[in-house]
Amino acid sequence: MFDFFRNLRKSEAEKRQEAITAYLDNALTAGERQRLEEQMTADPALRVELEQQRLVKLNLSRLPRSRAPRNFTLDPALYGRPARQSGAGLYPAMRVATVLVGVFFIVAVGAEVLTFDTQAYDTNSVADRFFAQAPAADVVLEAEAEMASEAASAASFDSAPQLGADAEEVVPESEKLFKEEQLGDEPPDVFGATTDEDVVESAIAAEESLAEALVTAVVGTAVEKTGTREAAAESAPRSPTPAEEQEEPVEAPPAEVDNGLADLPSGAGGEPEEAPLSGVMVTGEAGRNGLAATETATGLPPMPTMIAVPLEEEVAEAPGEALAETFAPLLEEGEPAYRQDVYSRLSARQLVILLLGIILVLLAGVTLIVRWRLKE
Amino acid sequence: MDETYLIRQAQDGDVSAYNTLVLHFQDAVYNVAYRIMGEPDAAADAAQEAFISAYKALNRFRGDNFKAWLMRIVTNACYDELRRRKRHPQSSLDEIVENYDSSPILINQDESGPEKQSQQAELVEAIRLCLEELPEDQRVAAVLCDVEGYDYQEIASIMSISLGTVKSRLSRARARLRDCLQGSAELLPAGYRYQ
Repeated sequence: MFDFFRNLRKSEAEKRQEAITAYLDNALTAGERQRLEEQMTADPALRVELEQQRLVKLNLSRLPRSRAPRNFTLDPALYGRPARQSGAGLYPAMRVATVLVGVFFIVAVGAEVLTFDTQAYDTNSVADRFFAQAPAADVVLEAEAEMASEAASAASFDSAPQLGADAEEVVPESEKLFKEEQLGDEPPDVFGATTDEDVVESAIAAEESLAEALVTAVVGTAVEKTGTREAAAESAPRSPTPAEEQEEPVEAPPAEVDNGLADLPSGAGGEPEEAPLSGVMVTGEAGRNGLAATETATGLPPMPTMIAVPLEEEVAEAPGEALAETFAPLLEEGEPAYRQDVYSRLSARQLVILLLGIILVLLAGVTLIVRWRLKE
Repeated sequence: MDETYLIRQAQDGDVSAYNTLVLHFQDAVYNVAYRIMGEPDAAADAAQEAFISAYKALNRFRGDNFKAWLMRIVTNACYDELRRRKRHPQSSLDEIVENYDSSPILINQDESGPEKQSQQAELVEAIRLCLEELPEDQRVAAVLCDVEGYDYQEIASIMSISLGTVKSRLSRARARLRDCLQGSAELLPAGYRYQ
């Protein structure tokens, strides 16, 4: 193969000279030999070149042979049995194994790249199945989402519909509500903006505030959930505690929330447009409380770490990674059955690629070392 | 000489069997080393080093061409020595005198008279100088093919290169040698002069 690429760079003169060299040494095929002879018949310069090379070869072959100035025999007293080369027999097998693993690795990576979208879709399905396996969680999540939705409708979004439409793309309703709760008495003047400049500035400020609020929420909620719940109770209907939920059955949730939680198809027939991921996971405080309540309501051990659910954009960019990061704490501390299911389905292919890559690196390294020792 | 039997005996630690092989191949090994190194003493050192290395690595020999395997080892020994000289160049008057005194003993000298012998010696010297001007890889290819008579496949095996590379190096080596020897045309016998 390298000879082929090298031949591409050679000039015609070089190719002709190499052909003459090979002709002199009988290293041409019958066809190549016949072609060159035809060319020499038509081109006297080729015949001159051939004759000059023949003379060079003749001169070199007539160089006198020299006798060795001394004997190079070894002293038996100094040299014992030649060392056994344990790696010599292993080297061919290791080389073949390295090539095979390399091929499998390339195929696996290629398949991963080619089926990336499909896998992302399957990842969403896994997330759906994850929620579907916890039926009690659905009920609690729906209740939480319903309350969040009511609180959102009670807020002053109606006064700035244009800004609301812009912010809607970035901030889910429950997170807007949560932002207001966290900021307390001094909400940003986002919703009262009237001019375009004000709208833009307010939107930027709202995004920054929301980012801070989300960070605070993730940390704060994990450290002390009760404080957040009290703050939420000031501006929105109080979320029922897990104990209250057990005592008081939750009513059927609204259609839009229910669409995202309970009735999602678990197979490949799901439609992401009808069931957006933010709806599925109930972002923001409501979703977090819902997850926490789920654990208690279902009788499972309480979940000490809360999960920051990624936004839609994050999920759209890297769905597999985002979901893997999202569910990692839950998988570590939650129900083993969930962990086995989600973890194995979510990253089985990646695990295979990772494993193949590690084996390939190890095999290649050992093979190179053995080769180096054999060459010594 | 049963080469295969001797090799097996040597692999089992029979140094005398290996020495039989050494005596059989030492002239060929030395000649290759001499044509590559250009100096008798350096060639002798390289040949000795090659035979020692070959014995230590005898259990790695799996092929059926022991001579080619030996040539590969001596070629590598020459490469190593040439690289070492490039890294640490050194020459002294003593070394030059010593090299001059230890010229190799020729086996098949032309016995047709003092004048012919003188011409032959000049021709050999001209070729030796032209060979020394070649790059190492081209010099080894030319020596193995045109001096020692190995075919392309054996050269590729000895030098661990592809057949295409053998052709390319040999072609360039001959072109350079042709240009170099044209400057010494008067030294060549009438039948060996370029027109």
